[in-house]
Amino acid sequence: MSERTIKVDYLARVEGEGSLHVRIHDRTVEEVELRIFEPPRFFEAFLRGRDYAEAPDITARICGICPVAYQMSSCHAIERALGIRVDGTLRDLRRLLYCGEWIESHALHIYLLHAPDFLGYPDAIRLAKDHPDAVKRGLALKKTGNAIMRVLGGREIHPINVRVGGFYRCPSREEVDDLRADVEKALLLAEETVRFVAEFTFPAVEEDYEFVALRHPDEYPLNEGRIESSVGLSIDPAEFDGTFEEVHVAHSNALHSVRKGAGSYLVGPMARYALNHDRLTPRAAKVAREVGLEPVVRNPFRSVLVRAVETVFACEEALRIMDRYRMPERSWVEPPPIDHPTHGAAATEAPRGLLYHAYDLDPQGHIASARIVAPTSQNQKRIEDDVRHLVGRSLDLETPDLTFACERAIRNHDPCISCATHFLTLDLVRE
Amino acid sequence: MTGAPLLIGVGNLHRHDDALGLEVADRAKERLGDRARVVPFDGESTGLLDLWTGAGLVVIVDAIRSHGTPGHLHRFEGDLTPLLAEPSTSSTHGLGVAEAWRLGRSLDQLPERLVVFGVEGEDFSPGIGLSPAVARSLGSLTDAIVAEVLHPPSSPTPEAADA
Repeated sequence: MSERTIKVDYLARVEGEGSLHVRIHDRTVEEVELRIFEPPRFFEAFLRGRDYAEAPDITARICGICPVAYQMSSCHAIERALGIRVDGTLRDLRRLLYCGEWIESHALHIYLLHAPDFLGYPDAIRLAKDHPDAVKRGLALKKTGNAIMRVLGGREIHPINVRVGGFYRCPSREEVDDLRADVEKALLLAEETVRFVAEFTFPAVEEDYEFVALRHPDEYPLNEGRIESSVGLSIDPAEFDGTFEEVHVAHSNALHSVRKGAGSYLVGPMARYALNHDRLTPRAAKVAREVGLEPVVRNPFRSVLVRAVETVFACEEALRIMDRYRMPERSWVEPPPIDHPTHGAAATEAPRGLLYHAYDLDPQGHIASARIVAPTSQNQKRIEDDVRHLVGRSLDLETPDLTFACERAIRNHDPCISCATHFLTLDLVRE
Repeated sequence: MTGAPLLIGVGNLHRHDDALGLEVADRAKERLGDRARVVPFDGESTGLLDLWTGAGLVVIVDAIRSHGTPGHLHRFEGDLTPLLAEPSTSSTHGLGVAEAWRLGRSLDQLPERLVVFGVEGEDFSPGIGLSPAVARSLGSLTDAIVAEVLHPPSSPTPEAADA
C-alpha cells in the first residue's frame, strides 16, 4: 500500500491566499481540499446595523480587484428592496463602469497570473524579462480599465462615486470623450490578446460542467438577467436561495455552494460564454470565430481564451455606451422613504462570475441582515472536482510536476480567494 | 528630478495596522500642501507602475511584518530586494511594493528615485483601527516621512538601512 500527499502551502498567482491538500491512497484520489483560512463572513457581520446607503462602499472593500461587482450587486439588491429601478443613461453608465472592471481584471489575470503557466515562467516578473511587449500590452489594457473606473467611480480602486439609485456625480460628456482614444486602442490590444493566447498550447481536457450565469434578452450579461444554467435552470435572482445552498466544510472558511439536489457548478467566463455567446458584440464574435473558439468551451485551460474574448466585448461595449452618452439631468433616482421591513436580492456578473447579494432592511433603513455569495465560493467545489479529475489522470507524474499541474488547474478559474472569504496556501499525500 | 515629489501611502483600511501607510499619507498631506503630490493606494500593486513611471522622487510608506518592534521604521532605497517575499509565492493581493519594483525594473518603468519606508505592524486581522503601539508612533513616522519628501539625502543610499 502506498500513500502520497500533494501539499501546496501557499498557492501562487491566485487572488488572495489559500492552500490545496490532496491525498492519494493506492492510486485512488481520496481527498482534495481547497483550504481557505481567513475568518469568513466578516463583511456580512460588519454590515448589520449600518444604513443601507453605506452598503456599496463597505462591500466594495471586500476586493481590490472587483470592487465594482460588489457595488453593483449591493445597489441592485437594495434597489429591489426599495422598489426602484435604474434605467436609461444611468443604467448605461453602470455597464460602462463594469466594463472598466472586466478589462482591468481580465487583463491582470491573462497576462500577470495565467500566461506564465502557458509560456513556462514561474511568474510575470520573469515573463516580463523575455516578453516585455506582451506584459506591457496587458498593463496598458489594465490601465485603460482603471481609467474608466476612475472617471466613473471617482477613483480606480474601491470607487466611491456609486450610490443606491445611480451615481453621486455623473461624468461630463467631455470627461467621457477623453477616455475614447484609450478605449479604442484597448479594443485593438484586446483583439491582439485573443490572437496571442490562441497560440498557447492547451492540454486536451474536457470537463462536464453545469454552467451557471446570468442571461439577458438582448445583452451579454453584466448587471441583470435571469440566472440560467446549461441544464435548463432559469430563475429570477430572488429565487437563488431556494435553488442553491451553501454547505460548510471543515477544511475551509469559505462555504461550498451547490445546486440543491444536484452538485457543484461553475460560474465565470466559461459559463457566461457558454450561455451567452450569441449575445457577444460583433468584433468579439468575429475574433472568437477567427481563432476557432467553440461555442461551448469545456476545456478549463481554454478559459484564458474566453477571458480574452470577453475583454474585446468589454471594450466594444464601453465604446458603444460612450458614443451615445449625454450627461443626464439627475445623477441618481431618489430612493423612497422606508416605513416597513423589506428584502431585496440581486445578482450581477463579476469578472470571476455570478455575485449574489441579499439584504433585509428594517423600517429605519438599517441593514438587519446581509448575505453575500461570491463567485469563488460558488466555484470552490467545482475547482476541487477539476483537481480530483486531473490527479486521477496524472498519477504517474512525479510529485513536483503533479503539484504544479494542480496549481494550474486552480488558476484556470481565476479564483479570488480574497472574495471567497479572504486569504488561500497545496498539500499532496500519496499513501 | 521631474516634477513635485510623489508620496504614496499603501495599505488597507480594513486590516488594522495595514492601514498605517494610508494614515501616515493622510497626516503628511496636511503638512506638505502643494509641495508634494500625496496619493493613498489600496489596490493591487501593478497600479504602482502607472503612478510612478516618469516620476522623479517617489516615497512609499507601507506596513510590513518582520516580527520587529511595532512602529519601527525601516528605510530602503534603490534596491528593494530585502523586502521581497519568496518570489514564486506571491499572489496578486500578496504582491507587494517590492514585487512591483521588480516588475518595473524588468519593463524599465521605475521612477528616477524610489524610497520605501516599511513600518512594522502588529495586527493585520480584519477590522478598523491601528494597534496602540503603532498608533503611538504615527507622529514620529510622519515627521520622518515629511522630512524625506522635502529634504531627501543628496545621494541615493546604495543599500537598505534602518532609519
